[in-house]
Amino acid sequence: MRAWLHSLRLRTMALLHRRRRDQDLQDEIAFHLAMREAQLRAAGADDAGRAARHRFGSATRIREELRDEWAVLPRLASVLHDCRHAARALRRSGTFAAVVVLTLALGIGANTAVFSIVNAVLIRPLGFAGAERLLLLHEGVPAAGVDRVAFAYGDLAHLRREARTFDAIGAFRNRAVELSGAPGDPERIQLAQVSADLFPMLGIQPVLGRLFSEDEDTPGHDVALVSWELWQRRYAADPALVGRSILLDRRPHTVIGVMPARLQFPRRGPQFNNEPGDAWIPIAMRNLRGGYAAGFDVSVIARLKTGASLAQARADLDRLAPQIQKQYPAALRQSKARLLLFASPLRDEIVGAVSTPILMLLGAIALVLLVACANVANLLLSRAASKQHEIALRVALGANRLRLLQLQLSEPMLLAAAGGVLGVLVARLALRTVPAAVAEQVPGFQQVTIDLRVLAFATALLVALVPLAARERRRLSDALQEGTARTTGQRRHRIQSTLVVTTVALSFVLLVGAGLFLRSFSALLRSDRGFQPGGVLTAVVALPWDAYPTADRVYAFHDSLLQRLQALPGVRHAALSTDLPLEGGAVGIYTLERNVQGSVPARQTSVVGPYFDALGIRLRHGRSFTAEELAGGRQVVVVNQKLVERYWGGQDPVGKRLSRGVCDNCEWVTVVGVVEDAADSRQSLAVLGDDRPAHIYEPRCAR
Amino acid sequence: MGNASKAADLLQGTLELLVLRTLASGEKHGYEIAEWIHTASATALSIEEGALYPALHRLELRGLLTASWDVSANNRRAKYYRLSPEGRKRLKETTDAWRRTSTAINRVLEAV
Repeated sequence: MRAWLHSLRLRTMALLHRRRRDQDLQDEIAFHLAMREAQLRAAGADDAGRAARHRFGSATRIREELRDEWAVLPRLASVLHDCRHAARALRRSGTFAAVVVLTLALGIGANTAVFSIVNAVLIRPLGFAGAERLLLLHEGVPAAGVDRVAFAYGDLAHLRREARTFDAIGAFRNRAVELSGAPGDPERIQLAQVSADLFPMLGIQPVLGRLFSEDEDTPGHDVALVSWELWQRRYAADPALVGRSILLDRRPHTVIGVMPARLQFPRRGPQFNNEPGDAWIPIAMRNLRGGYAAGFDVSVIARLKTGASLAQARADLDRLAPQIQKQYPAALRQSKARLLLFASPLRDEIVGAVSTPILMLLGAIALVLLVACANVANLLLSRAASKQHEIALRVALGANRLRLLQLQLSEPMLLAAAGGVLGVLVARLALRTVPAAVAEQVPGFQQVTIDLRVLAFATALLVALVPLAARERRRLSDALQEGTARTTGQRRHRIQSTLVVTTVALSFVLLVGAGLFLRSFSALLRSDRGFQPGGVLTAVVALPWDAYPTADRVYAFHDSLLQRLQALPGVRHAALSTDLPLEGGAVGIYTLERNVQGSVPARQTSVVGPYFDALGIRLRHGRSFTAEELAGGRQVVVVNQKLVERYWGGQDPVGKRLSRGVCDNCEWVTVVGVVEDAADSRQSLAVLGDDRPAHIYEPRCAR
Repeated sequence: MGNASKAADLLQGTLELLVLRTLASGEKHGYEIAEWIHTASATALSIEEGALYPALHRLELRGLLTASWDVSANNRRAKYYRLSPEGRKRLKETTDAWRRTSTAINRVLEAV
């Protein structure tokens, strides 16, 4: 070890003073020759110089030998030489090179793309302080058929007061608002209402200005934080925006800060309140007593106290749930259906739904890489066979083992490098072709960047195969020399057939997997969603509260909108509704007349205009709403088939009555028709345990 | 390659032993070493003189010799080599080993 260090030091010094060292080698030899020449001349030689050189041997060769002795990286020069040689050889067999490079590029590219996604979505930290201690809380009444809902703001106060296992609790909810005021046209943006303690808990600080104060998180304080991206895009990154006023739903809000770039909050993934905000305002809800009245629409993030476990938090919530239920209105308070509180790690909520598909994709792509590797190894082996002659010749000419190995490695290395470079391009292309609709559903997808470590990993995996081929070639050359080419040939064939079998087996797995996916996909395409999406256009309208403060004003807008839409050429039906199929929406509790189950949960949609015609939802029974009913308010309802089957035992429901809420003095409305079940959302699946839940359609609320 | 390289190893080992032995009596430059080996072996060992230098440099890199530039007797710049403590130790070990081997070989030869 010491000797090695000593030699490395000398070599390094020599490298640092290279010119001096070369001069020294020259001088040392010149000195010897001069001495010898002088000695020979004194002895009376004729041509002393020549004789001296003869006795010395080839000075050039000795100098080169010495230079090699001293080189820190003696091989580097020869490696470059070999690479040039390999490049020339590859250029001569262009097809072989192209096939190998393309195969590698596809394998490396696909893997780099998928690993990059895995890294961005599953591995990279959430970007919140103490993220592993953050829990997302939900409420639910499973016994009443409501598995999981967001939190009622009123219940939050109790939680904040009484919970023992959390050291911070923050709340937020999503809504779309109109952003107007100079500069630019009005636009629809995502607004998140957040409690003042939320951003401090997540460890997020604005880059300009400040966060909300506790005091501002009470009604009457119109302050806002804007995202870095909105600030850049709409306000040209003007620092003077802080302190200025912007219009949110036509109400002036003072901008108090700009949040950091690429902040995504709320994050996508959880079932509720999952649209990243462009701006944030205080949640500022009054501490309503009786959370139920406020609606279950707030998401709650709580941070575990240091040392507290998830199980302890769950026990704590189990203790609090009955206390919260006691504050509910009488009918709910006395209900046998217990309110439950749920907690799950925030990370699971964010990536949970996508982690399985992404990991499956990763597995499939890894197989593709293996197939690519096997193919390339096979091609390299075949090429080795075709190079037998050259190698044998080199061995005969006295090439040493190491030098030969280096020469043999240079070609695969060049191919791997070219494949890697091309692979990055493939990965970029692949990531760019992911449809926006998919990218939007994957939390953190926006942060996907091609990770060079990942590329290095994929390349390393491929390069690991190279020695296999190279080793085989070396054996080949040795064997040739010893005249036992036949056995080596057999050996090569054995390796090649193993590779072929592996390739076929892996491809088969991939093929079967792809086939299954295609089958599911075609089944999905053929499946009856209960509505006809063809030729249907949808848009979302959010009216600013301040400009439309009363129901009449809103209805007047709706009526004129519908009229003008219907007047457009090419429009057959135009309708408005509170939500769309596959989108999810309000869940209400209903009481069915003469039903033993009492109150039941159901999806609720209010409609204006010929909603069922517009969406092609077929009527099974009875009739749809008349124009008077649509204009006159909630006297009648249409229900879906599921509700009839589940709660009325499939009997003809037309003429039966139901009422909203849990009631003693019920305001009954009459069922006039039954429609097909339309597919609903993942959210409905979570809340009601069914992606085609019982559904009640009402005309918009009475005036 | 096998036999040739073993012969070369033997030769190299011998050359190194000779170089170390030569320097036991004090520092010398390359030409002096070549001359010394030539004279001491009564001209029996004739090596290509150039081959001496890679051996010298290898020994230097291995830390068995140290080298420095100095002015020679005839006023020219020359590189002088001397034994390092490790070199001295190695010389003793190699000499002993060599003596044992040659004694053994001699015995065998005389026994026949």
